[in-house]
Amino acid sequence: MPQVFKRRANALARNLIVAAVLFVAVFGAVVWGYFQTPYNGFTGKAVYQPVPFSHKHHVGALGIDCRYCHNGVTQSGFAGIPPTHTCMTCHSQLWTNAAMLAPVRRSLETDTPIRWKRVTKLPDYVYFNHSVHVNHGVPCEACHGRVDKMPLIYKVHGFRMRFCIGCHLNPAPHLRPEDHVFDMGWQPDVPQSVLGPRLMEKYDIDTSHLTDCYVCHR
Amino acid sequence: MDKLPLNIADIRRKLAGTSGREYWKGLEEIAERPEFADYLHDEFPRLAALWERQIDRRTVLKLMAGSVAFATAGLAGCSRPIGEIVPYVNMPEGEIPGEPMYYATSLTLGGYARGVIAESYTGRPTFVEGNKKHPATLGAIDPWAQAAVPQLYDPDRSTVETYRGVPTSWPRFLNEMQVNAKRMAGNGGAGFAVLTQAITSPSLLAEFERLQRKFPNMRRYEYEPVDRSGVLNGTELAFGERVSPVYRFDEADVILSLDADFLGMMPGWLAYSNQFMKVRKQRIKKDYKPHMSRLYALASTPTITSANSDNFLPVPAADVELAARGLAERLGVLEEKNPPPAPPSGLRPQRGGQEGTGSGSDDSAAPFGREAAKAGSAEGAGGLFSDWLDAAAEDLQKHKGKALVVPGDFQPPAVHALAHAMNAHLGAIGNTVTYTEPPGADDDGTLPELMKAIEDNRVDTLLVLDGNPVFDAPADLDFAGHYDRVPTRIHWGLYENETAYASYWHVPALHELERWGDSRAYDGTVSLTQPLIGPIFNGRSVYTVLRVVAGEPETSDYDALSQYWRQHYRRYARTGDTYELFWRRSVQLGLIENSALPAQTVRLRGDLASRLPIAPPARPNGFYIQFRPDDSLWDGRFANSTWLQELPRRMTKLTWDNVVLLAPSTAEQLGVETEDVVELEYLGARVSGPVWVLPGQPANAATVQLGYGSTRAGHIGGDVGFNVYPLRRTDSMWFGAGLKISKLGRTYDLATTQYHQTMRGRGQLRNTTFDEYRGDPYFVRDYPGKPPRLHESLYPEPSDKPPLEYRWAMTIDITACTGCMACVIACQGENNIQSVGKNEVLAGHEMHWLRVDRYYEGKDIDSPRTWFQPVPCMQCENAPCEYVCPVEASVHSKGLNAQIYNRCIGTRDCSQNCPYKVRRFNWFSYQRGSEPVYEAPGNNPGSTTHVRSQGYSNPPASANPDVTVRQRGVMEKCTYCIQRINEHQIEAQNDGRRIRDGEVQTACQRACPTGAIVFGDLETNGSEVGELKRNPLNYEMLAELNTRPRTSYLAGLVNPNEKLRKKGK
Repeated sequence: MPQVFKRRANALARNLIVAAVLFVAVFGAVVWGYFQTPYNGFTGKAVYQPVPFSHKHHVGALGIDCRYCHNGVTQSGFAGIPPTHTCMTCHSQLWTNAAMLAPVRRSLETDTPIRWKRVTKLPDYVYFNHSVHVNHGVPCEACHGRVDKMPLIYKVHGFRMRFCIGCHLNPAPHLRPEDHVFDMGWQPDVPQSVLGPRLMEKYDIDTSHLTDCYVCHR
Repeated sequence: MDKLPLNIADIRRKLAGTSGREYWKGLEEIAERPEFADYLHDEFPRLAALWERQIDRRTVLKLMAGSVAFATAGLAGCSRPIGEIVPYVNMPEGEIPGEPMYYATSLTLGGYARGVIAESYTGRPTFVEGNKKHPATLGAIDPWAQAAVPQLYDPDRSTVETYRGVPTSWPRFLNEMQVNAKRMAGNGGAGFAVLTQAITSPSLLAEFERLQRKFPNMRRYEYEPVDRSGVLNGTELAFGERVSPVYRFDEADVILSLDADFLGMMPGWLAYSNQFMKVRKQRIKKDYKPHMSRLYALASTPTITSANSDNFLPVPAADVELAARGLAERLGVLEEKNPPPAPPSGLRPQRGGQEGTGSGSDDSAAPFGREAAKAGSAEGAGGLFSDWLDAAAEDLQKHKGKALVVPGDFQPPAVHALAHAMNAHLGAIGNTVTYTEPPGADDDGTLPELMKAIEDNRVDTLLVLDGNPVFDAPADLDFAGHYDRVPTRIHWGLYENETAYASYWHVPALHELERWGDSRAYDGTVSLTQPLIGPIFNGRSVYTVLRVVAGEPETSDYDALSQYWRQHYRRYARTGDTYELFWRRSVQLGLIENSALPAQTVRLRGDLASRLPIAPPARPNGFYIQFRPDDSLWDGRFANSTWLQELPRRMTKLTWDNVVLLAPSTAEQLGVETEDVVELEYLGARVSGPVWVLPGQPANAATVQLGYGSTRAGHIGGDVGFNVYPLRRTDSMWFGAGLKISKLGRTYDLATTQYHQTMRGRGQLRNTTFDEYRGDPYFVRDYPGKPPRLHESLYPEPSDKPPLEYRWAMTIDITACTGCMACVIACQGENNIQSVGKNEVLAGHEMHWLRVDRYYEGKDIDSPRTWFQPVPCMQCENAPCEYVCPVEASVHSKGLNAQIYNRCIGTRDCSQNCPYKVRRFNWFSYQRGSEPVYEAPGNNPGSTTHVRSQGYSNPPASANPDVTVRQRGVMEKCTYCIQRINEHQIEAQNDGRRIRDGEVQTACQRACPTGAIVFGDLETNGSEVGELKRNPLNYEMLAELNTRPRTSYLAGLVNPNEKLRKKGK
């Protein structure tokens, strides 16, 4: 019986195997790399909003407390987006004719809500609760970054599971005394390596079951 | 699939040959036919048929091409969806977005209020639970009330006024009615009639009174398909006044039910279940003395009341009166003042003597004794019926003052009168039963009177307020024919049902979660209804429609209600109350304090014996027809609810259909078995439906359920089951004699969950009698199946390292579980569990996380003892499912056995390895309402079942935002309501404390009327669940598998009369 394949078929087959392995590796690396990009995490990109609300101005310059607008943050899972009336507490007096604020005034007039664009969104199977974090010394800044420096709000962290788990394994480096949770750019007087463990004790944070699935998924 | 005929005699023989305590789920199981074994073998029976289907190469290529195309399309659609956040313009006071608000309100069924707490997420009602302060619910809730939430969002609800079926406008209706009202005003409302359902609302009744003054000739008629007229007619017969009985089951030691379903359907059944089980649960506390009441139940069809009785006797509904007379005679009730009329020969108590043959010679002069023998025992023990009554009478007599006789709502007045007379004799009145004014209106006309008025041309405007009389009125009245003769007919209701179509005008109604209202509970407590949401579908309030038809300006339901209570509040107000204070407090409570109707003093008529109607005649040829409200659909008003349609019926575990219930002996006689279609002919009317052979059904009586077969119920309920209303007549509203049953020779697939998720004989119940329990409280430990000792296994011990802060656990009391199914539907609502439709249930794909297994015990297939066992996830500490999951989607988390949906890849190994069979798989995108097309297996080879366009998914708006909505291809199961645990844990952590005992209640526990389910933390000292785990009755299911379940059971106890027991009962 004659040879079905020529000799060089052996080399071809070998090369193909190598190529296949390489292809999988490269393809995998590209996919993995893609997931690391800010594009995928949607970080660093300002979102166009119906009203170009500036946190830089309101938080940074005017020093308004986070809780003035996000008033559910200490009691609820959802931090809360302010109703139009909250905007109008000041803007019925200030900048009453500013073109920029026309959508706010229209909202009040017509009793239709302002439709803000979502910036931070977790998957539906993740249940994040703001109240338990801010009540245990996790500052806003830890996740949302220096919003006092953002003219338009954008995401600082990609909020991948690794980000959450990192802190759940070791919250100490992020914790602050409760009266500085809502501060931006706060620096501790003592080194965080000393303060952190002290606060862990104070807030009674037990990390032993903090990475259990049921903590965030249900 | 050819089936061997089910041989009843063979089943009897097999059961008789068994020894000891035997449990079985149904007759098919005992018959052990080979195809049944196959059915059980396949965990998902119909899936196998799907695999066996020949698939050719072309189909495979087509499917592959399809998948590639979809995958590509999916990648192309990878752009990031940007969501929106839409805040309030003006946030309501007290609202915290993300946190639910709770409002006390009430929902009615048959006019009677059940107080509920409705949960609302930013103005969106999502769930209802029982109101602990409301006397009719005491914190529990029934399945019908829970189904109110999806009903609110039901897309089939009517959305627009129609004129002759064509959408029209409200102003046009107003114009038309104005003209009509002007005409009516001229003649004092002559020709103006309103047909309502049962009404207990004080404000609405006042409104009718006001209209009556304006239109003296107007008349209100009332028709409720679940007719309870026997109750008031009965008290009138007994006491000479129309009063309504209110029972106290916790005060009674011996209870006899004359076909009453006080644990399942009687108004107030949630409270009654609570009272009844309060004195039957064995809770080891200080000064604990074993005590248990005893319930004798005569039942014309097995109900959960008869299933929870200690001594059960199946008797056709028509013979209950004879039994009541027999009992009254034994107690010497009617002899007290007047000698009773000579009872018919059959009534004489047959002490011992008579031989029951079981086969029965017709037209016997003693139907009583013969029936008894037949119904009582297959072995043909003679005179058992008499023995039963003797024993019951003796027991009742012995417990004077602590005894109670409860007549069934669907029994004629004579039974009620006899029961009240017995209660008077037994000293029950004032102790175990009180009588109040009727909570509802009682001065209205009846449906036959309305028909008469139409015949006499005395009705020219008929306003039908809610209800569906064209569909559900007794057939002999020919409501539809009469209705057609009324010149102006208006229907107000939630759905465009048969009556809406037969009307000129149809006006959409407001749902109870959209409107203000008031109504009375079973004990008369005025309960307030407040809207949770604005009208979704353009509904109108009842007050508005009534006023508009009467030619008055529109009003809002709130105005009408407050107008009434502003005038009448003083009666119930505290001292110093202003109306505003009173109103705020009442709305907050959901009821008006101290508004229960006071007990009346009643005196038994001296001449009652002579007033009782002549005893019913001996049984004529043919069978009895018996009607029952459906466990799910009631009278048909819930037909369009996927939740209720798919909720397994209490006794049959059947979904999506109604059936003709037949006793095994009757089925044998007719040569039919379950799923055979029979034709029922009753006085000329014919309907056909599938048979269900039900152990415990009395012989010769066929029971059918109301509410099915409506063609206009909506896309869910339309054409489900068969309509039995054509058989119903005014003189046989609940039962009648002379039914003919003939076999049609075809079969019909019934989707029952009876054998689904079966543990195949393992992990059975443990139970005993109360007497044996007193002798040996630790009897459960004598059962085989002990957990292996420590280190007996080669596998490492499961442990929670580091130690847990909380160890959640649950106990389920088999004694206290009545089988009412409230927990199943509560679980469905709380956990966003989807309904799947009949075809999918047939395939074994139902999604209920919690199932209630129904077991029969004993050798007697005619009246077996019935047990219910709710089975949620056991939350094993050493969970078999976790070892086999390849992706660790099934893992231990917070000490619980967690299922992580986003990890799950759907291998289903976990379900395969779960000995309790509590895991459910999303075979299809049920959450989107998609449903597969099956080749109908079995009976109709080749035909394709029809696919409904909209599927069965829950309305998205009713979803619980705290629970993930699962997608296709993932496994799911009971989580111990982890969302509730987390909610309370976060709250406790924020407050810097531990979770208190009783703070976290699972949805099933909260819904349970008897407190059978207890949930809590084992690490908390003195927690209730911890106490119960130390209760002698506590046992773990399949403990020998070393699964270490956190859910355990308290063994079942019954308290049967030993005298009857010795005789084989």
